[in-house]
Amino acid sequence: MFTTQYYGSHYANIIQELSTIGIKTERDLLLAKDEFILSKTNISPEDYYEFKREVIATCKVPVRRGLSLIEEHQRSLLSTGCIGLDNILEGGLRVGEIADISGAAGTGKTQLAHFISLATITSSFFSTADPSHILTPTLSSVIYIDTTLSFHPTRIRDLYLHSDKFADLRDIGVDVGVVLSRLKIYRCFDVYDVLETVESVRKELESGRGAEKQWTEEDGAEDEERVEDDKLACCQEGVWDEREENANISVKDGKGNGNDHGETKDFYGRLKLIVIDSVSAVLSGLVQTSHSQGYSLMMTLTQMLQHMARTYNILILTVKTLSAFSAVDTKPALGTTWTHLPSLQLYLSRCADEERVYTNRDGEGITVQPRVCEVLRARTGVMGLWCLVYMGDNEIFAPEPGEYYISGSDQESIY
Amino acid sequence: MSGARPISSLDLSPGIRTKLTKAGFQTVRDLEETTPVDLSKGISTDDALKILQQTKRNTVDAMSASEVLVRERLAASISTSSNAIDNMLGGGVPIRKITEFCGAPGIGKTQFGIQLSVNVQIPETLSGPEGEAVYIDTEGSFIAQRAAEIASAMVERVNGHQHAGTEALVNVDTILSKIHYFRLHNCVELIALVKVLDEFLKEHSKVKIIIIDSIAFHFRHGFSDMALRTRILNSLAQDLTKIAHSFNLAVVIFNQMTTKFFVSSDRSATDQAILIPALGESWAHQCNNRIILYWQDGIRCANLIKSANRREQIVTYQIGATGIRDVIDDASSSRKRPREDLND
Repeated sequence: MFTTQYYGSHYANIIQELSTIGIKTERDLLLAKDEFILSKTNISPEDYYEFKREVIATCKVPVRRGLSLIEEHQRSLLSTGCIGLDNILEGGLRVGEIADISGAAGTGKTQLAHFISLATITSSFFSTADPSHILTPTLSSVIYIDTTLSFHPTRIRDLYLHSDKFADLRDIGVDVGVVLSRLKIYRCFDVYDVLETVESVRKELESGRGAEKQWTEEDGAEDEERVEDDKLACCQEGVWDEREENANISVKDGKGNGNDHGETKDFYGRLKLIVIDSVSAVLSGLVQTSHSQGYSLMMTLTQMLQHMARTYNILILTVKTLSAFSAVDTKPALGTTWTHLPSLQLYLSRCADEERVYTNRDGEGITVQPRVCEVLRARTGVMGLWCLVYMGDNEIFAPEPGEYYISGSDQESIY
Repeated sequence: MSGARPISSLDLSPGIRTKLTKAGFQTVRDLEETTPVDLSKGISTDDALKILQQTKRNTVDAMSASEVLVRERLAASISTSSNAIDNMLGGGVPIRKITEFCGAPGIGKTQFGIQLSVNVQIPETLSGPEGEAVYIDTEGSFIAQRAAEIASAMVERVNGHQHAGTEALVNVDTILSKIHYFRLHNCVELIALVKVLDEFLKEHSKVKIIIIDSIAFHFRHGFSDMALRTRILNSLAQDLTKIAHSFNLAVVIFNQMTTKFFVSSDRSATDQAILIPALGESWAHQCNNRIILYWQDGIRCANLIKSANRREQIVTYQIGATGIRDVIDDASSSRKRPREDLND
């Protein structure tokens, strides 16, 4: 739908004229014949074609080069913080995708989600791919949408304060308060709340990322490509810089309150992960065979999430419960429709293996229980791989496959 | 332009949704600029207002983890009168969480319920929550006589702690009058009650605990459509979660046990049967904490099998004339029970 807010007030007349002949959306305009519109309205051809160019520019999908796609693919890995899990995922979780953890009650889905959140916040401290980050590591941000009150702040604090994974960070003086302030919690109790939250996050991202100068060039470029229309061919350096500046100024003018929201912008600028724990809690009441609206909401939610993940390079991690349809078999909840939606599905289950004792850096013995983590489905990478994830007290780790025994001496290698 | 929330995801009736789509509205952004007057050209003013309210609905507040940490530290948990169980749960039954106790008949589930509904009234001077209790009884097992017994034991303890000179503030009558008791006879009543519970809680803002004894009773018979049962239970749990969060109270649910059979594929091995909590796998996800109560060698044991912040643990307790207490004899060292017996 055309709005003067989006297209600017100087197009108000044209929008008004067009709506009188029933042309209200981008789609209407692009499907209509130019002669028809010009003959029915009083819009001058120059104004009309200018407006149409503007509309086309907003609808156009930006061109991407294969080379940059590959670079993106390599750069977009997000470590889970567990070496064994990263191995079966071929390096880690990928930003721009929806990943999904499912498993029976009490198998540690929420624990894993807590741990991945913490590992994501501190990811740049562990990153080896980009040396510039190691010099000036920054904390990333994570949003946690909690639908079953399962988020536990003391738990995540204890994980940071006691786990060996974060021992180096504690040693260099990264304060737990600073780490926790990078994690935002939304508590939602129905699907409309979740949709509302996702929409408000998207708005923040939309207004924030345009002004983020230090953000990756590609993101900036994408935004400008939307504004500029058919000048793609001329991407010489000079033109590029000029555009970037223009974009920055226009955004600042539009908002005019950059300083007040500096903190929010910083938060959303570094947003890397959104966790939804759990999706099935809000959706399973609606999804039923006799009622299609539930499916529609589910698809809408995933579409919004997918769009956000891809546009802003964020990983969406959903946590989902199991449903048991027969006495013996359990499978991830929300039916078969959902299984097509995430790009990656992990499945946690208990295993008959013995508990083990892990000796941490302070020399305390910690009893850890094994869980099997299996890749049920993956769009990129290999399906059917699995690894053992040990959980207990304040430790979660997955040793390399084959490395069965955990001893105090090679504690470095478990992460 | 794309990526904004589509109109189809608003909580509107299908008729209005179709009208909006026909009028060219695609996303919430399109609605932001319009006024009720503009909208009401095609639909009634009431509907137009309703639509706009939807788009300007109060957004969910975000809190950073450090803020949540500070807030949740302030909430006092509700003691069970057994130190061992309190320690296992990190100080007692936690506020703003759903805690489930499962156990076979006669293990003392109702005793826990009565004890908690009395203990929630421990005054603030003794670092108690000083609240009221809502007791939702589906089985008819609540006995006022027993509540009075436990209450008088509590009164004795509380008044023993009062400083000399101050008058005893608590007596059995006030305690019993602060237990709001609902007796439900079928699951329709249960669903209806949970839907209107927030009205009741607005009037009784001191309620700090909601006890449901038991959730399983009305759901274990009379349901031919199991998928329907699962859906009802899920939305019930979602409502309770919302109540627990918005009214800052603890929800305690009691659940029955059911027998699960394992037919072994190996012919020489015998088939096995174990006790597991009733209501199935999807219900198991709805609670934040799950505790299984069982007998072992004549001692009552409590096993925390699901918790986001506490480790899995087994402790012992006993039930006497005065209510739930620790096992005095120090045989209470936590013993590990083979886990396979408890989990599927």
